[in-house]
Amino acid sequence: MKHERPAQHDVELDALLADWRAQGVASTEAALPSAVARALENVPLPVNAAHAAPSLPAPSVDNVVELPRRQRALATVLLLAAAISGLFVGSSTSVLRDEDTSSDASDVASFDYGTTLSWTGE
Amino acid sequence: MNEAHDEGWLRASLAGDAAASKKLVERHFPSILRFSRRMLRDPHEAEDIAQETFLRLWKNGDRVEGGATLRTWLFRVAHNLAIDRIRAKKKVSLDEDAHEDVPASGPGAAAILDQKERAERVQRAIEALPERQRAAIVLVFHEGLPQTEAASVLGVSVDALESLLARARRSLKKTLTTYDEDEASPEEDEDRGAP
Repeated sequence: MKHERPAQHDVELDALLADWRAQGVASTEAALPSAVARALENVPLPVNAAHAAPSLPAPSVDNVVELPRRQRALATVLLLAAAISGLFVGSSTSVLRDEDTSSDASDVASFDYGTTLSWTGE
Repeated sequence: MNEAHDEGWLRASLAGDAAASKKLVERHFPSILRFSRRMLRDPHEAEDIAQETFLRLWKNGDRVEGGATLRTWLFRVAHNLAIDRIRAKKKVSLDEDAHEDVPASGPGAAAILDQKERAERVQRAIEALPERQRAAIVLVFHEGLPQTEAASVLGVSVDALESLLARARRSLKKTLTTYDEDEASPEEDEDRGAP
């Protein structure tokens, strides 16, 4: 059985811990540059980044693309056609909706909401 | 460099000042990474924890309240993340116990090992400690935190921290030095797995 004074043990343990610390610091030092670089990539962008960041040029008269005359005429025709067909579809839909409504109204009027749930219409 | 700088940089960082955020990274990231690497063997996992700690700072920095310094807050987050990883790994693999198989050393054995080998033996012995003892040793002996701050990181009183350190040292002495086994206290497992 080997007995040593606790003070000696403390010295030995402290020396071991000091080596362990030095080794830890040294090995982390080697890994630090790349790890710090990655951490910096995650740093939130400044609040005014939207102003600083390059963005698309604001629309201006100069930036408007001039269509050739023939294409402009075609686009106008297509827009007109779309508008006219939209009007037609809109009106026909409203007609259908009116018919549906009236039909629903008559159905509701002739439906028996009693306990039998039987159809009593014509 | 002091806590007043931290406070100003944190305020500026939360207001969107990227330069202040960079200062905080440069000042605190190294110690958080060192701490994580000593808590976890895997350097990639350790870096994940350090990165995650700072992501949480950018996200929740406004919750760093008065009374706790920024450094304490960062260590606390990193500690909690490390403990989560350690516990998850224990669940997945029981091979962790292999680290506890540190060979006993004979008289003078430490003297013939070079510094790296000795450090590796110490690291393995520390990894075999209960979580809180491990964290206490790393915070105080590796990162040099004052006991009051280390206690705050772990959420314990200074007395409780001293007790953790004393038990950790006893356990390390038993494992790493020629300490007489008859004098070693069996209480080192008392807080193993404590939250």
